[in-house]
Amino acid sequence: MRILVTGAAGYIGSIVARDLAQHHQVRGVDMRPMPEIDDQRVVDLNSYEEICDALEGVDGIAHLAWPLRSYEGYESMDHSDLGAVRIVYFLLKAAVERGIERFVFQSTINITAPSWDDWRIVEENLPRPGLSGYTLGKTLAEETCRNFARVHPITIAAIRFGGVFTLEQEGHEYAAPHRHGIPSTCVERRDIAQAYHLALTRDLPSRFEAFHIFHRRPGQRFPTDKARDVLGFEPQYNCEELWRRGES
Amino acid sequence: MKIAVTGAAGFLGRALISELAARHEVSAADLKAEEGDPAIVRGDVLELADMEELCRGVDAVVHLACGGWDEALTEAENEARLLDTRLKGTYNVLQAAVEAGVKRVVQVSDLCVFSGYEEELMVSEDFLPLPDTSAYQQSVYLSEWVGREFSREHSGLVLTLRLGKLVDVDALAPDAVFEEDWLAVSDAVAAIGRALEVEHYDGLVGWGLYHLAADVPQRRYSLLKIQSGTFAFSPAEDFGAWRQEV
Repeated sequence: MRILVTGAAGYIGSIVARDLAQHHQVRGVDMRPMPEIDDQRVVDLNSYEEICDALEGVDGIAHLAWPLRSYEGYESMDHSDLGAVRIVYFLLKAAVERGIERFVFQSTINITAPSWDDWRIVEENLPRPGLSGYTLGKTLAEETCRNFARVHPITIAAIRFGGVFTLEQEGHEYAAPHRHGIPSTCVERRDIAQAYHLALTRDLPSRFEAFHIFHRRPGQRFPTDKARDVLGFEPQYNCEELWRRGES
Repeated sequence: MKIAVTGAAGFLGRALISELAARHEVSAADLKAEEGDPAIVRGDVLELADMEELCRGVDAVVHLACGGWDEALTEAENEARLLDTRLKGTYNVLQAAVEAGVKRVVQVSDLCVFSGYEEELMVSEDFLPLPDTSAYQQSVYLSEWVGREFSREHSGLVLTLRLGKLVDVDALAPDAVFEEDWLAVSDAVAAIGRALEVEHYDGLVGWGLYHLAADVPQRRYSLLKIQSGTFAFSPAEDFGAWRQEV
C-alpha cells in the first residue's frame, strides 16, 4: 500500500513514517521538509488543491498533522484547532472522491478529560471535550470521521493516547510520565507506529472505530483491551524505564 | 432587553431584526452590511474583536451567521467558508458572549442534520443527528457540538433551535408543493423571540435543544417538546393551501 503520512516531520510523524516504510510505500507531507523521506512533499493542508495533489496514487492515509504551535515563517497559515477540523473534512472528502478506503486519525485521550475523575472510560463513551480548542477540535474531527465512515465506503480508525515518550533518543525532549498528569495513557513512539500499521491494515468491526493506544499498565482506567483484541496491538515499550532514569 | 444579532442581513435576519426592534434594543451585524444601512453594522464572526464589540453590554445574542454560498468563489472556498463560519465563528460568538456576561445565546440550527433517517420515522430531539457529508450539514452538526460544550461549562447559556426549511409565505407560488420540513419565516421569528425569554429548558438541564417545523398532521418532526414544555410555542402557519390532501 502507498500510505500518505501527514505531519511526517513531527515528533511522532517522523517515527511513524520511518516505521511504516518497513511495510508500505510512504509519502510524507508536512509544512517543513522531511529530508529522511524519499517521497516527501512540503504542503499547506489548508489548501484543498494541495491535498488533492498529495493524494495522487495513495491507498491509505495516516493523518497526524495538527496545528500545535506556530512555526517561524509559517504565520500566514491557519493554525487554529477548529481550522484543523476543516482540514480533516477536506482530506476525507478528497479521499472518498478517489476511492481511498482507509484513514487513520490521530486523536487524543483528552477528549474525555472532564470525565476522568468519575469512571472507567472505554472508547465508546461519548467524548466530553470541554472548551479547550485542542480537545474540541479533535472531537469534532472524530465526529467528521464518524459521519464519513457512516455514509461512504471508507474505514476510519481514531487512535487516542495521552503523553508520548521515546526510549530511542537520549536527551530528547519527551512528554515523560512525571511531566504528564496521566501516566497510564503514555505510549512510546514506535508503539504508535505499530498501531498505525495495524489500524491501516486490519479488518475492523465497523467502518469507524476508536482505540486506546497506551503502554501496558495494570489496572488502567482507560482499558486497552479493544486495541489488543481487534488490532492485535501489543505495546513493546514501557515507561517504567523512564521512571527509573528519573530516580537515578 | 438589548439583543445582538449575527448574520442579520440574511433572509431570516432581516425579518428578525425588524420584529425585535419593536420591543428591544437591537445591535445587528453581518459580514455583508451595506454602506449607509443604519440597522446593520459590518461584523465578521471570524474576528473575535468584532464579536466582543457586538456583545458588549448585551443581554442576549441571536447567532444566525452561517457563511452562505458565494458564486464568485470555488466550491472548496465556499465549503471552507461554511465550516469556518459555523465552527470558528460560533466559537468566537460564544466566547465573546461569555466574556461580556451575556445570559442567553440562541443558536439557530437546521433540521437537515436528520437527513440520514428513514422518512417514515418521526424525529424528536432525542434522536442522534445523522447528517450527510456535505460541508453544509457537517458545519451545522459540528457547530451544535460547540454550543453544547459551551452550555456544559456555562449552564443555560445556549438554546439551540433546529429550524425547518424557511419559507416566505407571501412570496410562495400557489402551485408550490408542500414539503414536510417547511417553516414560515414569521414562525421562526416568533420562536426566536420566545427562545430569548424561556427561563428553563426541558430535558437536558444546561443546554436547550428544540425542533421547529410547521404543525401539520403526520409530521416528520415531533413538536411535542417545543409545544408542551416550558417553551410552550406553536407555529401558526400550517400551509393548508399548499398541502395536498392524502
